[in-house]
Amino acid sequence: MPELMVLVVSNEARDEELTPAQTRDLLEGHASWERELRDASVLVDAERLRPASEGRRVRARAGEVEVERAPAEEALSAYAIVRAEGWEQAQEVARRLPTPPGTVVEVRPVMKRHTRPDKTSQPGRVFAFGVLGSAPNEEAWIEVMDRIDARTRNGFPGERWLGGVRLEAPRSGRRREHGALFDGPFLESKEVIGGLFFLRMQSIDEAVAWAATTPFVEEGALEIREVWRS
Amino acid sequence: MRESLEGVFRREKVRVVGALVRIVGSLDAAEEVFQEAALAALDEWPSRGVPANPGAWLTTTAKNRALDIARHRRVVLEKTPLLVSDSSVEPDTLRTIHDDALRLIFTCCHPLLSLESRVALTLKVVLGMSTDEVARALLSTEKTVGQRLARAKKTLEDSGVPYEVPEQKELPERLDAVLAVVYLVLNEGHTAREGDLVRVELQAEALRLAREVCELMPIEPEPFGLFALVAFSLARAETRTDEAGDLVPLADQDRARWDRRLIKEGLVALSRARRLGGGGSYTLQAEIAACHVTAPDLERTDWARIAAAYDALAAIDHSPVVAMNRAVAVSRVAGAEQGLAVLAPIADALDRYHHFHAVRADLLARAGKSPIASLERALALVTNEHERRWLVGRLVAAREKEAAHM
Repeated sequence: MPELMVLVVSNEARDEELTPAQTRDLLEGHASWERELRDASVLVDAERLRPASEGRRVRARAGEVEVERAPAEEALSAYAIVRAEGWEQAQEVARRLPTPPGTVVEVRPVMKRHTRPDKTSQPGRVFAFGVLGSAPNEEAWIEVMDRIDARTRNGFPGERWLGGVRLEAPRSGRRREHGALFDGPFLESKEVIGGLFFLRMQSIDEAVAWAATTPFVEEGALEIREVWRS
Repeated sequence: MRESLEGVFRREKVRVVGALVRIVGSLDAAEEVFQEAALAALDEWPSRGVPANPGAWLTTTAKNRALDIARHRRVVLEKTPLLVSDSSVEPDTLRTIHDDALRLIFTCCHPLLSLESRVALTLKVVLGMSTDEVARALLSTEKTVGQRLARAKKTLEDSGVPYEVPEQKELPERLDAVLAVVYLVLNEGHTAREGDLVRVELQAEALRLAREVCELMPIEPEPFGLFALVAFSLARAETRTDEAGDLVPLADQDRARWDRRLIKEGLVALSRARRLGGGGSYTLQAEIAACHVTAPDLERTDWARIAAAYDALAAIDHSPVVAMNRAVAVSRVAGAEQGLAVLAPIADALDRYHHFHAVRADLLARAGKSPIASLERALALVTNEHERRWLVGRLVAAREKEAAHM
């Protein structure tokens, strides 16, 4: 059965205005959404990510490594990989997830995947690395992602590797915004996510230091975010 | 954005010392070597810059020094220390690093030591405080704490406590001993025996320690429950006292100033504790605290959920203090008289506990009875000056009220 990734893209500044009671209801709603998917054997893997304000974006421009804070306005805050018969079922899954106003839910087909659901059962900290690429159009973006894929295939530190997933291009996905679903648009002049992988790291500094040496940041950028044990 | 060197040492100490004990064989020697490495860093970093991975730098420097000592000792004593092998020079794997940190925490919190000694040793070795800071944290003198630390290390050495993570069958008891340390640090920060009533910095240390345990034992529910409990307490800490340092009761706290980030932090941890099957004492206490921190005010608090959590808690924890707190929840659900009925059987057990009399006074007042005798009893027992002032205020108000009705 085809697999899809549900990406929850939050506006962290807006989320901070939520009352504790609203936050609790959303967290409990999210937990029961996940539980239902798990009980229905639809859920493959799901994680929550710690705030973008703690994360970093790393890229290299003309050989110079640039490190900045991960943007908080459109921050990947959680994801779930689900098995779905088709778009109708996937859209239904995305629709049922309770989210605060300002949240975008994106659904993208999984191209290939090697993830493990027990990432956070391992001791130590786990970091998610979002693979970002920016290009003038979707075809060029796909080329960037292919190039990254080819150059990094065997480039992960073995002991730390906790799996990863590559996504199909945005066009083949859907976005839920303001409660309505749209075809997945390609957003020009933006860094668009093409995949996600997971490594055990001792700290964000160690993760950034590793990222800076990889082809990911030459071809595109990496957004590094700690996985939130939830 | 750069943290202070001292901050780096504190953060890294548990992992570095964890590795060192394995090499040099004793906590005392390991701490000494760490100290030397920290001094070397203070010497080198300001001029050459802080290394990209300060923890790895400290570990390598300290390990080289430790290996020198161990080799030297081997020559002098002409016997091979069991713990030393040249493979120790290799960089540690992540697994070793985590195991070392966990071994160190379990050793410092060994049930062989009194709870006070465990706390002192953990603050010093795991959280990287100086002896002087530990003394201030525990409202003691540097000398007393120094002696206590020395005795604790000697006890561990003399009784040959193995440097290891406990086996599965021992784990629940040993984990309890660790969590009890976190809980005591939290309580000391929540209501200090003297001086400032609320000590935010101590609660922050309790949070750091709880986070460390969660990261090292991520499939045990209770560390996450306890982490949530500490986060909820810390979220409210700044609002629990007024400018004069006097106690502000829950009903009067400015809820808008509660730290929403910390509340979310606690809620996420609590949801993990639940998912891992948590029904333990810390998780239940966190459930109760979660009801308070998510309520818009005292009246609109989910008292039924709190009372249910207290029922579950009272079933596994027969301490009279739990019964006392349960009485408050019962009084909100079923009325003050019902609450007083829950208090009656524990009155003897808690007779010397000022909180008990303060709670009883509150329930008596709400039941339309005189709280004066209970307030007087609480005042006779209270030690913290800020709490005392708060109780005096209540006593004065109660006397005025009764005088007006006469």
